[in-house]
Amino acid sequence: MRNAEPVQEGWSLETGPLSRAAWFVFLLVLALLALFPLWWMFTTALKPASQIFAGDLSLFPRGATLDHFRRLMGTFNLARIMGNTLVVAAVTTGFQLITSLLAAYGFARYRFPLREPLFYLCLGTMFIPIQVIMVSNYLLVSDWGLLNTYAAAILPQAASAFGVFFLRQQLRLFPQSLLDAARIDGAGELTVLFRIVLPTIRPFITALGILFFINAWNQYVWPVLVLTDPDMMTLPIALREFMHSEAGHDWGLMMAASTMGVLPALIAFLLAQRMIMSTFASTGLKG
Amino acid sequence: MKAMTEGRARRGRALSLGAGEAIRGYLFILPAVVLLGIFVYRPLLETLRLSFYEWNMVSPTQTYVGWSNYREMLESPGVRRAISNTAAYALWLGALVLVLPTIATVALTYMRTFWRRAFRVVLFLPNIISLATAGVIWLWIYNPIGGFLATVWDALGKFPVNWLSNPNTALGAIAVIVAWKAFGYNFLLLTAGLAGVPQEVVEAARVDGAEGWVLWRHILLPMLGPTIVFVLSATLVMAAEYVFTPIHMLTEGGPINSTTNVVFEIWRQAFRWFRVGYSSAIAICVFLLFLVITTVQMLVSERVVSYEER
Amino acid sequence: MNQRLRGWAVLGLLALVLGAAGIAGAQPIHIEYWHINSATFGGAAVKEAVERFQELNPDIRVTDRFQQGDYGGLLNNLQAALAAGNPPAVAQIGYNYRLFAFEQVPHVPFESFRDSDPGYDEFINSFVDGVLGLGQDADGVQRAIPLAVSVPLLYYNADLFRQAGLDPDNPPRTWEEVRQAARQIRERTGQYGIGIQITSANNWVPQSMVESNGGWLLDPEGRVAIDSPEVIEVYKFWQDLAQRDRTLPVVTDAEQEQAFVAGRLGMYIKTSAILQNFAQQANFELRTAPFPTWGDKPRRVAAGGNALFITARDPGQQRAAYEFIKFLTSKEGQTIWVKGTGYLPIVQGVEDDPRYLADFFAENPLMRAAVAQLPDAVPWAPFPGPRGFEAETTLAEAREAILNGADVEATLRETAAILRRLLGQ
Repeated sequence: MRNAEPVQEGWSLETGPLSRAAWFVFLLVLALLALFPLWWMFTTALKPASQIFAGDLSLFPRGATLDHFRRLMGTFNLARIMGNTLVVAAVTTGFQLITSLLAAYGFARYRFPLREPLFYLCLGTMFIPIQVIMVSNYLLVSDWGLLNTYAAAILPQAASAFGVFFLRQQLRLFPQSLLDAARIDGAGELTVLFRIVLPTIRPFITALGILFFINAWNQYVWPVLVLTDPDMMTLPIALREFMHSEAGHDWGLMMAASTMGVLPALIAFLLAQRMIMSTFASTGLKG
Repeated sequence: MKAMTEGRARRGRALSLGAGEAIRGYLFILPAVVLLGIFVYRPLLETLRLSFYEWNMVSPTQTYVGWSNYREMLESPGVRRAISNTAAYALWLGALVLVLPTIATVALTYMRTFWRRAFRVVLFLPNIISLATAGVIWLWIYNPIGGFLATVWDALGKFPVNWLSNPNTALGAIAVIVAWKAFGYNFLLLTAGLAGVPQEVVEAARVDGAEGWVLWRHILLPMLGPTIVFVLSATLVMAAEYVFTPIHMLTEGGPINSTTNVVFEIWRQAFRWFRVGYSSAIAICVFLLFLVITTVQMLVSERVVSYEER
Repeated sequence: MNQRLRGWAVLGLLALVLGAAGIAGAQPIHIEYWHINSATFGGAAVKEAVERFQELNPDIRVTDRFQQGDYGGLLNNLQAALAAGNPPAVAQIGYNYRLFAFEQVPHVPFESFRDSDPGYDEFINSFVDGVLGLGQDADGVQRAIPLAVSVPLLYYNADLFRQAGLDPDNPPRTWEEVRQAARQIRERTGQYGIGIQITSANNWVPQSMVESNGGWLLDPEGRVAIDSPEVIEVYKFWQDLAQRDRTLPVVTDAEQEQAFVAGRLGMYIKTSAILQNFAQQANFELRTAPFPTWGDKPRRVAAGGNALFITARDPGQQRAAYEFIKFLTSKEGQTIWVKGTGYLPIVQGVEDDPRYLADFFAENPLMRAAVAQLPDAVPWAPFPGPRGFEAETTLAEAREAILNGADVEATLRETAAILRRLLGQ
């Protein structure tokens, strides 16, 4: 598997100027289609309310106003919701990283009966759609009285089969001799793992962490079932509730809310896009 | 001195084998395995069990009904609609996030480095955004009274289309939302896969006289094979799973069942109509379907890889 | 050492005593109240009522929880909460779900408090005639208490009317007049003419339309009757508004509401309960008129609204819930409620009493249209049985199909067959 280095530039091909121009226009159109909805969201969030429904196609708002954002802060419990999302995303990521690292180390470094079958069972969970098990999980979580708690949103996602898979690949490449040397020196297993192995594979952990965090932040399907209390909602769910109730009329407000939802991910992306993109890319590469 | 160190080393290694090692191995994998066991495999078995019962989630009694849920599924026009919709989503997404990104990947190879980087970043951008946010943005674009598309239609003198309220267009409208977000991911995978083709191979082929269409058809696209297979199965997963979010947020399966799919039915039967048993039967069938698809993908992948290595 | 030990012992004892006193003393009871009143639909009135109740009952704390998805959504969440073992103490159940709730939702019948509350009879007698039936089951047991009543109104934009050359003082009275007015609005102003409430899956306004025409969705014996000529006629008319005249936008209810508030929809048939909300949000001259009739046929409007059920498990909470419900339907509670929404009061004596709503009704001519229709109110037809939800959705789907151009008669006949199967007829 390719490690988390920046996506390679690879080679390029030559072709006639006309052909190249055509390809360029093609890509340009796609790029505009990709960007346009985001742009439309921004401009609507900044447009004065009277212009929004007025059938106005201008790409730039005239007399931009921060009014919708102001009202957003007032109406919608934005701080609480962002807080919830942050807690759920961060804790989920933490759990996923830890359990993946431990399990990957276990699978890579030790031999024990049933190791391969257990590994494939773990892997197998990646191919089970969440909706197949969500009703049962819902009943389980509610039986435990955990509905509308952070635990309900976090626990079922606390282990990541992909994380185990990904890290095991990396750990297998780790030179055995280094580990043996450490063990001989009397180091305990966990010390070996954290003092020696971890620093070396840190870029992979970081990459994985980013992936996990973004996915946890954007999660909708599971949290929407278990976080129905308005105080506990995360951003994607709050958007839906917002849409169906309070701000149904108010597209300026809705777009301001969406902008807030998009902003953290957008900023993170722009700062670290190479790393983020190479992480996503490595989810698919064989090798 | 040396003998002592060696002896100690041998003993150290001996300690790491056998029971001690096994126990440590189990301990390390314990958290992940336990979590996956509780939250994936146990619910899976529970879903299987529930599929043989009729239960409304509230009453303390569950009525055993044997295979009747499965039989009902086979006869139900609602389920048949959900299945045909799922296929429709797969076709839409296949076109928009499999074929289209592949063409875009081809296009990218003709660009200079600066533009390549730029396009890759821009086209990936929507993938960072949550499907929920995408849903809201597109809902506004689709709004038939004042939304962007409606305004354009008005300006062109045409009667605005109610994209999400018209059973003929709703499914496509949902597919577009998912495609908009997912395009970037598949595109990234494909470009990375293509970049993995070694330069020498490309040069060698060109020296041999292969150019343009021939180059693509016989060399490059086949080398992209495994990636394409992977992207294909990712697309199928999207057609089932990803579309759930926009459906749940925007149309709840309507209008007239034109946007529901098999996975949405699982939710709807359980949480809207309180038929947990029936929902579980559908869930089990979806699971089996995925099992089949995954197995096929792995087999095809093996064959494609071995072909490539020839 | 001994000193210290003794010191701790004394403190411990003190804590124990104070703690016991605290527990024995008024430990406030916490109850949850589930409702569908968002911030733009009576949410403020709910909060005001809760605050006032807590002032009068310092030993009870009420937390109000908005549930999205209208009455259907609330019921869904309620079922889930019951399954989880932590239901709210008080829940609003839409009148159309009352039969379902009587049978399938565990609750404490309101009248079980009759013996323990000397004020029970006086309270029961304070209601307007006939309204209590909305909370009684087939045996006459008072299981729930109705909170308020709403009727569908014809809201219209007086400014758009003038622009279209219509007289805002003479709103359309029959459906035919509505159709003409809508056409005129479309032609002269380019905006949509008429919208009709189609919230989620429920069939509240269609029932009113149909029964005003002499037909039924479910006849008085509960039999499916949507394939009768009267019903077909209504849906055909509705389809014409959408397809032929293009005066009715075929969109979601939220989109219709957005359009109306933004001045892009001339008339809108919607619940009277949203009156105050519209009044605040609209920046045009808002007017109301009674629900249109079919020619000379008598007007029938389904009484919308909800009844309050006691769904608490714990006896202390049940009692607190009982008190809370009594407050919400007291004169004071009703005053707060009516002023903040547009729901109609259901207790006697509030409308004319200057302490309560006399001034409000005097200053709010818009409410008159609603009040005037109370005599025409009929019960909101429930879809009974375990497949009731599905039946309701199926009928709503038929409407969607029809508004999108499907053959009215064929669709209604097909749907009738499906409904009969679902309802076990």
